[in-house]
Amino acid sequence: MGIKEPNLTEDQFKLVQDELRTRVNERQFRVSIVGQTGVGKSSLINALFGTKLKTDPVKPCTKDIEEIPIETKQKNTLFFYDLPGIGESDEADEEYLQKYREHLQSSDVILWAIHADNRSVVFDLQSLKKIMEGYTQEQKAVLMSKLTFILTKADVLHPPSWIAAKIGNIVKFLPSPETNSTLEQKALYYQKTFIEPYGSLIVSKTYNDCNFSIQEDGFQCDRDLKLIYYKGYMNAEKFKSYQQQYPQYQKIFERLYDNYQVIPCSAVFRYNLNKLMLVILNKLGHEATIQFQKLIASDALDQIPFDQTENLCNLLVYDPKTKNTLFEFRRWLNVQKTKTTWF
Amino acid sequence: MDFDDYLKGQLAKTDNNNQNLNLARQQYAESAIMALVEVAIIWLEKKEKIDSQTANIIRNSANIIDNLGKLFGWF
Repeated sequence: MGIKEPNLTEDQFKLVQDELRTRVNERQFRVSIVGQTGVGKSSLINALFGTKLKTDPVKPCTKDIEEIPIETKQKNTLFFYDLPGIGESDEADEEYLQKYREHLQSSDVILWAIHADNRSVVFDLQSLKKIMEGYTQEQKAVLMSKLTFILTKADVLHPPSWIAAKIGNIVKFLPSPETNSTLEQKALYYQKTFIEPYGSLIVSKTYNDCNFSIQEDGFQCDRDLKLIYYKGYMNAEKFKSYQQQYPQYQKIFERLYDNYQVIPCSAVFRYNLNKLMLVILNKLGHEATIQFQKLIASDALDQIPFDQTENLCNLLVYDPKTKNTLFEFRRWLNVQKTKTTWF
Repeated sequence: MDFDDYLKGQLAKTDNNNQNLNLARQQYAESAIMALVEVAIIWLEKKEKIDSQTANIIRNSANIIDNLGKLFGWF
């Protein structure tokens, strides 16, 4: 870009503005979420985009690819594709797989949801392999550059209990140290299983806010668009080594490293949603980034108003002998609400 | 690690994630506008709606990113 001069006339500005508006509005924003029934796909989309997709804990969802146009809080339309686990469909033949692959290629965001309490990776691993088998190298790279693996329903991992940190009128849910350690270990395991094998296909992107410029294999800078690209999978060893070598760029390495982490989160507790959103943002293309800007709310995603927390905990201690409720979390919470201080 | 320190660390992480997300939204919006303006200029030039001199004026205009950003409600 050359030297900037504030000499754009109203007519020139209007021309560009109209052209941009047309391009941006014409483009559909597509979010695909892959995962087996019951992993909490709809709840996650609702928590991320403020949508109101039906979440039914009893009835199983459809086994086919489902397109759901939804209006967000910001009155924009988002096309949400619910993609069941490959093995769940009765028609998991080549034609179905091909449809599945096409949907993923044309998506702006692909989330792969795995239940945090899942003990077996076979099902999801097989699904990923089947999808990859039908792709060219280039298509594989496109998929990997958009894909984010998530461990959903982290809130089901207890005991020990989660921590509700009350800060003024909001609550932030945090895992206990033990649960945090379990989640970290699980995320690392899934990372090694799902992401590392495809590491050579990955190109990670982040913004350049500090004149980043290093001569190392894999790094590339786009000075006009202020972007940094890293080709390959930045694992923990590489991350540490770069941090030690170039401490002034620590934040950039952190972002590149985070891009291909498996993200544990909870839609119910709104845990880690900001981090997930950041990782999604880092993977979007330019036109999609603009669509995305219109979709995400500016409010912090990982906090809940205190007065909305009463349905999130359901502990009730009951003595059948005396027929007495000894403790009920909801009742206790209501008492606390009347007090000025809590915790 | 002591529980209080753990909690402080976790809360600091959530604040950090929030700040990073806001910063990223702004930075990417800017990059995206720059990329899209370029596409729009090429298109307008091709359709002969603007000449190359105007195209350069638009490219080098300081106010375009700010104005378009405000227009779309990104900043």
